[in-house]
Amino acid sequence: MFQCYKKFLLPCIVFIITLQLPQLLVAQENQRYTGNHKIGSYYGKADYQYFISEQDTILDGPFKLQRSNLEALLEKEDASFLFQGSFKKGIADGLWKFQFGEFKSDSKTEVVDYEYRVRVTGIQDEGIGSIVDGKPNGSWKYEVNQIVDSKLDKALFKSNITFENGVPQRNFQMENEKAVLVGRFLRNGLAHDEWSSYDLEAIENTESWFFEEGLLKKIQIVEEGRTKNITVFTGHEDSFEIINIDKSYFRIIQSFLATQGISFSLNKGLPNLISTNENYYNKIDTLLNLVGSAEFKAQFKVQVPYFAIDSLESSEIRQITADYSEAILKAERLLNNSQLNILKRSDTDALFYYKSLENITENFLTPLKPFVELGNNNTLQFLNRSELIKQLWKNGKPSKEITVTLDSLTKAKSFVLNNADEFNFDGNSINSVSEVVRYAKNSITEIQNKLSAQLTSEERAQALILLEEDLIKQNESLGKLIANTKDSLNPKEQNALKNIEQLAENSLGKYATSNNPQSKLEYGQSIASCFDKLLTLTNKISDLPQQKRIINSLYQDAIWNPFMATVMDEEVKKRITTAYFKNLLPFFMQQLNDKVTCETVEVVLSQLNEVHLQMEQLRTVDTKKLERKLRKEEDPKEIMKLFSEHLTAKAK
Amino acid sequence: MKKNYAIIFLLLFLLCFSMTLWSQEKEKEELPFESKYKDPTTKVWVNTYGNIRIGKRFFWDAQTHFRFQETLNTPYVGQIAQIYNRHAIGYIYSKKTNFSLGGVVRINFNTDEESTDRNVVPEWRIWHQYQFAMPFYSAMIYHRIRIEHRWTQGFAENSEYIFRNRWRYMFRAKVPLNSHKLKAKTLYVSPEAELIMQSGKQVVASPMEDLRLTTTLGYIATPRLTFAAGMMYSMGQDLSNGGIYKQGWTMRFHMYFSPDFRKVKNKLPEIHLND
Repeated sequence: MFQCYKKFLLPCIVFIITLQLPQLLVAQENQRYTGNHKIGSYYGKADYQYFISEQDTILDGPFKLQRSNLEALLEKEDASFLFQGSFKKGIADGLWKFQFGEFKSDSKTEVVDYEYRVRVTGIQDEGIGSIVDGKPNGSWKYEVNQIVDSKLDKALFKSNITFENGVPQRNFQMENEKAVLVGRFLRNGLAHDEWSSYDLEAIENTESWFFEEGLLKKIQIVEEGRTKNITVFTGHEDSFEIINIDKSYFRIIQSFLATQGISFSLNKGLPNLISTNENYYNKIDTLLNLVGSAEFKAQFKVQVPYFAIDSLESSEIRQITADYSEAILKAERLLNNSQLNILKRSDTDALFYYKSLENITENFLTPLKPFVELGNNNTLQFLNRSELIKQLWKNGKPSKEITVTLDSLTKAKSFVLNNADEFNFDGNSINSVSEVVRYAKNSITEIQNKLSAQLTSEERAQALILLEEDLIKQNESLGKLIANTKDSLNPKEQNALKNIEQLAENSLGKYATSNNPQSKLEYGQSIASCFDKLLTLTNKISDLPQQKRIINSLYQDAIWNPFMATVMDEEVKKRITTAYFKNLLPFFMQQLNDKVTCETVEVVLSQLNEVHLQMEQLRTVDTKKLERKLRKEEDPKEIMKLFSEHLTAKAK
Repeated sequence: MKKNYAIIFLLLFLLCFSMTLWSQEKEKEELPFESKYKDPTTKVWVNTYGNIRIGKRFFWDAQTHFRFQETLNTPYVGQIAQIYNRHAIGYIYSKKTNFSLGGVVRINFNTDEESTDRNVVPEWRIWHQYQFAMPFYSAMIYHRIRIEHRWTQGFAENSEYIFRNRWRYMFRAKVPLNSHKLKAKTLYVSPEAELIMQSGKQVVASPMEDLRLTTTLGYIATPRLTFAAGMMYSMGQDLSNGGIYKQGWTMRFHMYFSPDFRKVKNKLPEIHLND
């Protein structure tokens, strides 16, 4: 009788288990996350889908991150934001909306249709459009609106651009409070024809840029009925390159016009509008690349003449930038030195050097500034260098003999480097610029050396007074800190603090008994920097209980215990935490218990910092191998080595 | 998902109830004038409970129980009486609710030393269970409904299987003793009461099969491993005569383990079921 049931029983169990299988498999597909999330500086509530591939979280499907805080709004002001769109395998794809708001409220509320309403005043940015394969596609609108009492007051900025796979197409329009800009592109994204910007307050004032397949031929400015035509590139240059219209492009145009003796402002009209738009697009691009990948650029294309730079020239340019920064830094330091500023009133030599420095800065360095900026932006290859260099010093290169008049009574006096003949300023090559800047740098160094003897003895006396005040202050705060934190620490840590306090006392005693002002200053300075470290370390040690709590809670994982139906914290990677708590921390304190010197303080400080950072990193990486190695290891130095090796290997 | 279960349950119930059992012709037992209580027997149970996670919402419930019963020659601890193998696939509906469905093979050993019948017979069960947990101050309260469909046979040679349904309800609390909540390194005390009713053609006057009153003391060693030990008093009607009550005192020793071998964990962002 039972036989027939037995026959059914096994197939039935198999049947039941088979029914569950597909559910298990599907469960590993796209997952959804809702909760707090941070992208860059944007922290808010997220709702997105993702899958995991080789331990990486890859966004796939709808994505939303937003934040608004009523409490903050009512209290002071609130920065709200909303990013909504979707990803396809980690690449932005689909309709997207970006909103950034900065609002204040008058805190007055009203109830409308069962809703509490609060009026806000502020600024809201909004970008809407579609993205295909990470690139803007179709029509993209970006608007910045001023909101007053929850109503649109006026538009501060608007742009409307049509893209096809990231390439801008047809016409575009941009406007701010002052001007409107319209223009058009060829199918390949190159600027073409007339791009005009109109002044909204005086419509007859226009600025038009005339492009021919991306090459800027002419700028026409109509102002109060007068027309000014500026010819730009003729098209006769040897070779051309296609680049994006961005801030660098405008700087190239500005520098090019400067070589023609025309000064041109980038803070209004067309360059201003396009640069503003670029900033907004960059903001979106940065955001998208923080979570997935995208290439969200306006990519307006233009052609510019190209003048190749060879490797010799490029190394010379690097040298010029380096020398220039060094020279400027030294000159500014000396010119702002308070001792020199006092000394120059009574000492004619000091006054002579001071004036020479002013002369060098004004005649050698300041004219070079645009050149260095172009070099830093990697845009020198788009400009004719000899033309550019020619107009840096409009009245010819400065003279090696730097002549200054001290006052109306005395004769003018000159400063020349001893080896001035070795410098050749002739010509308009990059090399000539390099010579000028090197001459300036060497002159400043020479003046600095001449002045230093006079400055230091004065400075020393001043410094000693300041130093003593500092040392006493530092010692006091050290003592206070130690007294306040002792109770929460274990005996080893307390002993370490006692030793640190002792070291500070001893050093101060030694300083006080020293008589030679020079060596006293040197010793004082050395213990001042040591006191800094002692303070930092003391802070670090008094923070240890907190640090330990942080590490403890970091190495917990929430586990659902089915028998208790309760979520419990489980300690994870125990070998690592044991090594940290039982080996490393006691070892660090032991070093301070043995004998404390400024050197050990520095060592322990860097060990503490590094290991704490490593503990944070080790929590997130796979540490199976490391944990195996730690099983037998008790030597703290070896453990630190294993930590570093493991993290370096993981970083690769 | 829920639909699947409904279909399976329906299938099982149909299976069970469509069975026609020929009851053995038996001599009728006279009910005594007053209820009679047998002397309590002592037993020792050593139980392991495995809860092995096999998916985001699924687990494999794997239990093995060793049950000893006193005999004439081995009082107190006794000799092995039953070995249980209880398995099921469980579905986690939420952190506080789960369901299981599976089968049991129980090996019954004849503890009657004077018996000349078979020494070992198997017993078969299909079981399903519905468990609900509720937080109560620092403690947790659990309700467990378990329904079993059971085929048993006696030790006598050629004895027929008899079919019974068991209806079990258990109320249990777990009260942490040295902590404000149930977490690792916590001692807890767990009082529990379970009533087991039975039905079936053979069950004439003895629907109350067992009432179990237990108190255990447990220790959560880690979130994945718990030990517990306790004492249970049980009583219930004899199947053959509803007027006679069996009694028992049982020492129970339990080990609970819940490994999770899945690869998808410690992945950010952490996702726990539906929070």
